[in-house]
Amino acid sequence: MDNALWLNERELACVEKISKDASNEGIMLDFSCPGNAVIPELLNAELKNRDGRGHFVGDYMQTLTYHPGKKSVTTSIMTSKLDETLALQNPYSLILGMFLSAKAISANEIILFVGEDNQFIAQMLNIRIKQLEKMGYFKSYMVDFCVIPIKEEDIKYSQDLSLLSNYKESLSQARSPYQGVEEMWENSKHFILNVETFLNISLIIRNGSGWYKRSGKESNYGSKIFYVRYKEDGCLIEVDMGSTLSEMMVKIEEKINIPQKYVLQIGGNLGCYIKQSQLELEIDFNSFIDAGLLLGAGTVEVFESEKKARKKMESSVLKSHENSCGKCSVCREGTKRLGELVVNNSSSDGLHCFEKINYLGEAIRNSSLCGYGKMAINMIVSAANNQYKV
Amino acid sequence: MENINVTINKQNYTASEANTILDICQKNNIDIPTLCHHPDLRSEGNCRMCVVEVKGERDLVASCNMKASNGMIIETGSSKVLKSRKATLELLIANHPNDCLTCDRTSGECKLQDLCYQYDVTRSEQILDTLEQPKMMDLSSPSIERDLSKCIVCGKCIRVCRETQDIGVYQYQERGFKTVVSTKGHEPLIDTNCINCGQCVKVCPVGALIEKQEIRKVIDALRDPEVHLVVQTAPAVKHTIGELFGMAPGEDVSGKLNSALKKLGVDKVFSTDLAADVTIMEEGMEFIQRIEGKGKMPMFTSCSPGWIKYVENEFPQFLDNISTCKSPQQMLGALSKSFYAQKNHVDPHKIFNLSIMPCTAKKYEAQRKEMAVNEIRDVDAVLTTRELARLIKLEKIPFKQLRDETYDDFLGEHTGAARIFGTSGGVMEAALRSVAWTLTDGVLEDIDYEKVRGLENVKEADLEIAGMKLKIAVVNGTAAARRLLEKIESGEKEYHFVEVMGCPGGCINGGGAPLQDSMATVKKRMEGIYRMDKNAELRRSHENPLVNQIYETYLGEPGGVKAHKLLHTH
Repeated sequence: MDNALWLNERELACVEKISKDASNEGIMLDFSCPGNAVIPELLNAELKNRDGRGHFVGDYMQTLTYHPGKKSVTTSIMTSKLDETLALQNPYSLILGMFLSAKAISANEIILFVGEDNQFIAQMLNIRIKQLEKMGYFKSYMVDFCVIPIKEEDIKYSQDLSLLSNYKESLSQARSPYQGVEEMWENSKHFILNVETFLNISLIIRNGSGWYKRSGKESNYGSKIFYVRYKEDGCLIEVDMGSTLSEMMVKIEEKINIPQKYVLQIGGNLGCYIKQSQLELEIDFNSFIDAGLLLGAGTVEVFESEKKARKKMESSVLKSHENSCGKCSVCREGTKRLGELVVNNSSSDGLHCFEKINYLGEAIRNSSLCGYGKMAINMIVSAANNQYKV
Repeated sequence: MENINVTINKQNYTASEANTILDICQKNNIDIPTLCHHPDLRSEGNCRMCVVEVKGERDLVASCNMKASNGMIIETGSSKVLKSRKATLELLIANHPNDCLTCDRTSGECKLQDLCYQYDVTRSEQILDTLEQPKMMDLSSPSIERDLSKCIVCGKCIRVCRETQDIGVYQYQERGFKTVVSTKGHEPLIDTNCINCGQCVKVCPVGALIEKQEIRKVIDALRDPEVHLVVQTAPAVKHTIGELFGMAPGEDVSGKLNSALKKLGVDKVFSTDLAADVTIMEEGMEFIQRIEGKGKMPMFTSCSPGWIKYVENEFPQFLDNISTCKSPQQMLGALSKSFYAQKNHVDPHKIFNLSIMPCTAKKYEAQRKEMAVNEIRDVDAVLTTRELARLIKLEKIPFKQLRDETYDDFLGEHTGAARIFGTSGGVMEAALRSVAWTLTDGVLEDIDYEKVRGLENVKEADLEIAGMKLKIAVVNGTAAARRLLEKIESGEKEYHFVEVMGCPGGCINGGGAPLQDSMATVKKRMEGIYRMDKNAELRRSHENPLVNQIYETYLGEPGGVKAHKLLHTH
C-alpha cells in the first residue's frame, strides 16, 4: 500500500476533477455514504487510532453515537510536520474523513484547530470546505465546520491532540489544550483523531475494509506514516504495519542522507530513543509501547550519537509535565516527579532510583486518565531503562 | 434499563446497565477508595484511586466513570490495582504539607489520611522526597478558609460550585505540576461572586477548604467571667450533630445538645426555633400586606443568607421582592440582647451571642452591616455543627451518654412549624399553616402541605385560601433558583410566594453540616425533622405561647414599629 495516503493518486485526481467538474459522481458518492454504514466498515477494517494507544476507531465512534449531548469531530494541525504535510497534500480526504465521522456519530460540528504558523493550511482548508459546500457535497448531513486559528502563546499542549480523550471512561477529556477555546472544548464531547487517522477513514470508506486489510498484519492492519528528520533534511515515509524499523530505514536511506551509525528518537517529545541494534523491532502498537516508543506522533529524529539522543530525551522527560492538563493526579504529579528522578538523580543514586521509577512508573502508567499520561509515563520509564540498564 | 450480570472478585452480581462499576461495588459493600467521587456530583475520574482491573482491558479503569456491561469480569483488589492506588497516594502525599497535627481535618475527616493508613503509605518508607510547600492561604472570606497547599486537585469544589450551585467561583488554574484549583485570576474569595454557602467545604476531601474558624473566639468567651454567653441552636443542627457522635442521621438530639452546651459553660441555651416562629409572625404579616398591594410580588423568603447574597450578586433587580425580615438567627440574636436582656436586667453589651448553625453563610450574615441594633451586633460568633462537635470532643464531653436537658426560659419554647425550617419547604409550610389559619379566622386548619415537601429542587403548588388563589414555589440550591428567577423575569412563571434555600435540600444539607454526606443521608435528616413535627404538641407558629407573650409584653403587633426595628433589615 505504498504511498496510499500522502501521494494518493485518487486524491490528486479528485482535486483536479473537483475544480473542473462540480458533479463528480465518484467523490459525491464518498460524501453520500450513509452515516450508519461508516462504523461497521471501520470495525471490519479493524482500524486503530494512530495516536499511539491503538484503540479501535469503530469502538470509539460507537461510544460517541450513544452520547446524548453536544458532539464535535475534532483534529489539530499544530506543530507536527506529519499532520501539516498530510493535510496539505490530502485536504479533501481529511475533510471527507471528518465529515463521514460527523455523520456516523451525529456530531454537531467539525473543528480543525490550526496553529498560527500554518495559516496557509487554515486558509486552504477553509476554501476547500466552502468549495465543497457550494457544490452540495455536504447536503447529506448538516454540520458546522470551524477552522480555528490558535496563536502560539495559546498553545498549552503540543502533542497529538487525540491522546486527550478516554472514551471508555464516559468519554472523559483532559482540559482544553488551547487557551481561549475552553468553553468550546468543555461544552462538547470530542471525537478526536489525528490527521492520519481521518485519512485512513476516508480510504476505508472509499476502498472498503477488505482492501484495507490486505496490507499490514493481523491486529495491525494498514500502514503507518512517519516524518523522518536528520538535521535540516526531512521526508515522509509510509510503511505497512508489521514492517520492521530496519526495513523502514532502508527506504529512508534512498530518500535522504543519513550517517552510517545513528540512534533514532521516535515519537517526538513523547518518545524514547532506540539504537541501531534494536531496529528489528516491528512497527505495531504493542511493540512500540513495550519499547517506550510512541507510534502516534510519527516523528522520527535521526541522531549521530546516543549522547545527543539522550540529551534530547532528557529535555523531553523534564518538560513532559508541562503538557499535562493537571486534572488527573498520576499524570500531574507523576510526570514531573519521575522525570526528575530519571534526569537529576542519575549519578548518585542510580540503582535505587531505577527501582523507584519502575515501581511508581509501572504502577501508574496504566491508570492515568487520558493517553497523554500513559505515553509520558511510558517514555519516562523507558528512559530510565535506557539510563540504568546495562 | 435492562439488567446485566457481572463478576466482581469471582462473585456474580446482577445490576442495571446504567450502573458504573463503582455503583455496583458500593451497593454490594465492596470497598473501593475514592477521593474525587461524590454520589451527588458528576464523575470526572481525576484522582485515579478507584481504578480496577477489567478483563480484556490493557489499562486499569476508573470504576467511577466506567459503565458496567454484561459479562464484565472485574478485579477490585488485585496486586496491580493495589500497587497503582498506593503509588497514587505516594505521589499525592509527596506534594502535600502533611501537617496533620495542626490540620482542621482530623479524626477520620481527611480522606487522604484515611487512605494512607489503609494502603500503608508511611512517612518512613516514603518513596519520593516531600516537596517544600509554600503556604497559599486565602483568609479573606468571612465564611471559608482556603489553603491551596493542601489541595489535591480533585475538582469536587469546582463541580459543586458550578453544577449544583451554578456559580462557578473555582476553576483549574495553571497547567501540569503547577495545576491548582483557584478562583479566576487567583482573586481572594471575598472579591469573587462566592455566596458563602460552603458546599465546597462539604465536598473537600482534605483540609484545603474549611469553614472560618471561630472555636478559639468562643473558648475565650467561655473563659471570660465578665461575659454572659447565650447560645442558640438552629433546627437542622438538632437532627444532624448526632451523626458526629455515631448516632443516626435525622435523630433529634436536642436534649443532649442542650446538656452538652451547659456542660461547656454557657449561661443560657435558647432555641433558634423560637425565632423561626417569630419569623412566621413577621413574614406572614408582610405577605398579607404585600398581597394587599403594599410591596412587590412574588415575595421571596429571607432566611438563607447564601440566597440573599446570590440575589445581590446575580439578580439585584429582585432585591425588593425579598422579605425584609431578618433570618431566625438574627432575630433571636436581637431578641436576646433586647427582650431577654431587659427582662433579666443583663447589660446587652456583656451578652455574647453564640449561634450554632448548619451553615457557613451564617458567619457572613452575622457580620453584615445591617445586622445590628443601636450598634450592638445581633450575633457575636457562629459555629458550624462540625465546629461545635469538635469543641464538645475537645472538652471530653460524652455526648452520647448525656441526659436530655431542656432549653432555658424566655427564648426556648417552639413549635413543629419552626423545626421544619431546617428542610426545604419548611418555611413555606410553616407560613401556610399560620397564614391560612389567620386569613380564614381559624376555619382552614390544614397542617400538612405535602406538595411543598421533599428534596426535589423545585416544587410548585396552587392553593386556595380564603377565596384567594395562590401560586407558590419552593426552590433549593442556587442553580434551581437561577432557572426559576429567569422564568419569573421572562413572565413564563408567576407566583405569589417563593421559598428559596441556598443549599440543595435546605439547611439539613448546609455547608456547616457533617461532612461527606449525600442526598441519601439528607433524606434521613429530613424524615427525622418531619417525625418531630408530627409528634409536636404545637404545630403552628402563632400557637407558640412564648411568641404571643413576647408580642404582648414587648414587641407589640407583628410588623409593628418595634418589631420592625428589631426584626427587619430595613
